[in-house]
Amino acid sequence: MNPGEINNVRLLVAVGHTARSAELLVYASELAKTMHASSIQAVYVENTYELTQRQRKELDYNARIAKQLGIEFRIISNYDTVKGIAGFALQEHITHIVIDKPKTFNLLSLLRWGNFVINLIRNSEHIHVCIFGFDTKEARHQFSEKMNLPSFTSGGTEYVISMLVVVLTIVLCYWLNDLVGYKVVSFVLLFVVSILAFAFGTGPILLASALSALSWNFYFIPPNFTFHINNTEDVLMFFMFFIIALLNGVLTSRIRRQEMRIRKREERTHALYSLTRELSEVSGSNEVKNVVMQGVKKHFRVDTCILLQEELKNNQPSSHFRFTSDEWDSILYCHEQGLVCGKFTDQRINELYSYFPLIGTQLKIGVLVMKRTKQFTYGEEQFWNAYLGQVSGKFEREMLRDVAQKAYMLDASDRLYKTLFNSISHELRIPVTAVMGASDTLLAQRYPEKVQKELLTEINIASVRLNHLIENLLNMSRLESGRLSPRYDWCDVHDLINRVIETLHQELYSFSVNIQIPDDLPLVKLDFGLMEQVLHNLLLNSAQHAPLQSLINLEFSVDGQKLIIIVYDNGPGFPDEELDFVFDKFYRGKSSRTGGTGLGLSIVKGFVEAHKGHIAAANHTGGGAQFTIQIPIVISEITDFMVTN
Amino acid sequence: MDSILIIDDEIQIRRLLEITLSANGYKIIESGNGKDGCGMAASFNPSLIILDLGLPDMDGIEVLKKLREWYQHPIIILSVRKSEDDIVRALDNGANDYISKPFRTGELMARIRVAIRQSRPLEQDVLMQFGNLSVDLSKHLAFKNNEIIKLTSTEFSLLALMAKNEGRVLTHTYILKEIWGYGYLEQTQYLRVFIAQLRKKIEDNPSKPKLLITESGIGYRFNGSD
Repeated sequence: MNPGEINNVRLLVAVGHTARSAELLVYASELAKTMHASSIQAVYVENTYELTQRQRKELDYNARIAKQLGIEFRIISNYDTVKGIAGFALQEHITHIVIDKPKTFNLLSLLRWGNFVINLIRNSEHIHVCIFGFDTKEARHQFSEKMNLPSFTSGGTEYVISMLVVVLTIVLCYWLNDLVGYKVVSFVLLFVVSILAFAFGTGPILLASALSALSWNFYFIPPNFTFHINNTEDVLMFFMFFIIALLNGVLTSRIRRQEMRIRKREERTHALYSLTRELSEVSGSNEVKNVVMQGVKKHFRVDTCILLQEELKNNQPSSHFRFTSDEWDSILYCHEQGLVCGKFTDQRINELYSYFPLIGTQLKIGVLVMKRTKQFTYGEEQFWNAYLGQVSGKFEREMLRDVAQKAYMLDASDRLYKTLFNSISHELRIPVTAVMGASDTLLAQRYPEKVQKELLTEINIASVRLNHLIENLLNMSRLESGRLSPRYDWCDVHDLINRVIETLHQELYSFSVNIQIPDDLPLVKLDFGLMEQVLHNLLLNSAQHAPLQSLINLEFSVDGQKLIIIVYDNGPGFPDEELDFVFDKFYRGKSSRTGGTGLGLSIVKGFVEAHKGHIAAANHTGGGAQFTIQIPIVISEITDFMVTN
Repeated sequence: MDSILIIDDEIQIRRLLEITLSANGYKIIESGNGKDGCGMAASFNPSLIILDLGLPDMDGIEVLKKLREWYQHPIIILSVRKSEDDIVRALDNGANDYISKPFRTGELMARIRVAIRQSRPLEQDVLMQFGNLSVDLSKHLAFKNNEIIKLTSTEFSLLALMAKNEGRVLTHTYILKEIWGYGYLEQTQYLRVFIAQLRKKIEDNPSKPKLLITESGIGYRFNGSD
């Protein structure tokens, strides 16, 4: 046969909750290989049958076997096992269904088994059904279990309560008997049994049905206080009563169980939904980490921590867990190989923790470390894997966003350099031209003293301008490097002002500067040098824009834990459309005079922000530009008063 | 005539300094690197050394330390490095003053004059006069316009320390160590408060101090010359 033709063979293995299914899975995977199947899946149909602890374990084991064999394992819920399998097969375009054949010689079981196969063949339309035959004791054991009546797993109290309720009803009805007649009593009893079915399992219901039927017969059907029934009609009624009570009770409890299962699934879906929603609401790797850890604690009741790639690379886990070198080794193994390992897994099972790799579609994200005391059931495992997928996806998005942001910043810095080049080459050339021109002139021939002095002054001005430009560029590069961290020290605000006013002596010569500092302004912790530069640039900015002889105001105040500095002038202010850009690098107002670099205010902003402060530009009510700086500060407790004493 | 040794690798700076300093009556010796500079200092024993920190063969601070093992006269650092850390480090390692490039030649000349004058204590006067302020070290008294200023003992110590080192930058650490002792090297807030107090008492206009000058992030300088 041409392998290409058969390539669309898709196998489905119907798995039960017995060890035999594991064998079936192994056979099926062999079969898939020989048939060159394109896919193989396993399915377990969950119906109303309540699994015992042992069976649940077997099922989990089967699921793991399937995983190891590379078979996709699914659990579906359906009242009817056959319809469940067939429906799933059709939906998944399965070509072959593989089931096993229990060999037993029980007549009833043969009938049932026969029904199963026949029903499956009937329901699966064109799909081939392959039946494997094994003969193991397990098979018979499993089969006998299957033939048992629905489980009697209810606790003793349920039996007692249901009995009591029935007895109570009977006592009550005995009083009413004369009023309503014994036939109505039967309805009351039926009603009570049905109600009980909502609350209790099959066992107590069977008991309640039997008890009520017999009691009805004994106490109510004439002749009273005997099991004897005179009337043929009453005999019929008695049997009908019994059957109806039984059916009613059993069916209700079955529906209830199915409903409970669905509710459980609903709960998981809801939990997954709420986890996902919580995830979507946060951003930033650390935030996501916290949300995941809290979410997992809430829904899975286990303690976890997440180690991201970066931490693994640098060997610096930021976690509340402490790891030994062996554990760290396992974590790295888990990360690099992308395999689950640790406690309750297939590899390195002797460890204290379980390790789950977080893998996105493109990136290895990190490892989730979990401290759990018991293994997940299959359902939990499924839920967990779904959640882990979401978490990985979220982290990946965060990482990709970071990458994109970095790329953006790189692009921005590229643009910055271009602007820098354009702006700087202009700004540098002008003063250099002045120096060159003036000195050339001076060298060429002897000029009168007055001319000489004028030329020398030009050179001097140009050099100051150059120096200012270089100063700004250096400050800008300090900011751009991102390594600027303020050196906080106690600062006397008066000192700060004096320094600034002194260095700007020349520039502020033709202005009046009005400084307001409250008398009780305490020492504050600031970086003197940076704040000096901030005030220097702001005052210089005012001096460059405000009309000569006008007033420049500088106001200091303390508001709680914040130092507030307001600088405003009587200049033209900012055009409204420029307000948003005044702090941008190289941004220069349309009406600004020549000589600025467009860096001064962005340096101010950078330095203020380095202090974790905030600066805003606005137009003062009087019309001039106003800058308001707010900086969180530490205030000295030492006052003049204390020192004097 | 006072001789000045210039240790700087930039020939243009050396030329500028030579022209300016010679015109002001100093004899100039030059060196382009640290090793030669140390040798020249030993053979000429100049009255003052101007030292650049960025030298091609060795770090300026190393040269400074080496010179300070035996050299008693003033050393002024002239450097493009202007971070507070660099300045404080140089001052703590025995530099008398620090001027950053680009500099004003007027400023440089003034600092050189102060440094040379200070290096020759013509037997320090117990009574020092700075404008209308006078400090009597023996009687622990200070006068302004011939009236006694009421100073606490700490305030007087601070004033005396500053006045004795007139024209020189004293780092925060140095002042704290001298006045309060080793346990207080981090207590800059005390220093700030005391300086502010002292200014209120000795300055004509405390909000525009002329005597106690703040060197931002580094320390204080007592300016008594004008």
